[in-house]
Amino acid sequence: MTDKQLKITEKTSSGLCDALFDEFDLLRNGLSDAHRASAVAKLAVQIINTKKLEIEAAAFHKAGLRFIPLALTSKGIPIGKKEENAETGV
Amino acid sequence: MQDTDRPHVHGETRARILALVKEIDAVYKQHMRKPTGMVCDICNKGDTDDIHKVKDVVNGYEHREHMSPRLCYGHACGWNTSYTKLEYNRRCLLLGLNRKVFTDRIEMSRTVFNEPVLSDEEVDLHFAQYLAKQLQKTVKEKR
Repeated sequence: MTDKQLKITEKTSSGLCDALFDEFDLLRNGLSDAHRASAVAKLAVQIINTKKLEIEAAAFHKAGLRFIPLALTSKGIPIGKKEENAETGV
Repeated sequence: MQDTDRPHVHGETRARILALVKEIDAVYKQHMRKPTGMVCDICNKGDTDDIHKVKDVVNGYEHREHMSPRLCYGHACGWNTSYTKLEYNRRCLLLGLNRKVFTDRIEMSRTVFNEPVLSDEEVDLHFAQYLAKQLQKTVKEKR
């Protein structure tokens, strides 16, 4: 693919809107097909969901909540561990 | 019986005022019926009639008109519904109210926010989500 054909999307929310509008144009003019448009739409939804989660997390962080990366550490808390401790009194 | 209309006193002035009102009405109707000449960014359709026209500034983009998409009446209504819902939910969240409770809804209607509750980024993101849904809808229609 040459440099002229390479299309780079601006990595912002409005850039994502532009990319979707471009896909509408391509679909309308017969330069894209339903499968490609569907894939673009699904990909866009994934990006949007990630971004929304980031915004939500930023809002919590701003409010003073500190995140503990439980899923990424080896010292995760096994499910049901707390209840067992409560029963034994440890 | 006394004549309250007094055409010999007010007749001329009244006629002038009525002529002006008719002129204003004609200018207003001419302006309102003028086609926009724009097409929708999503479906590429133009105005359908005098009332159902393409909007060049949609909800959420009032303070940055140059960024606003152009939407036909149908898509503008759809976006308006979606945007209003998001804004309402955010207001509820900020006030700590439950939108399903009637008294809370009344409390919401009494509250006015001086500043917009949604950021530009959030509006753009929500519009992108709306576009993605519309794209999926178009794909379903094409198949």
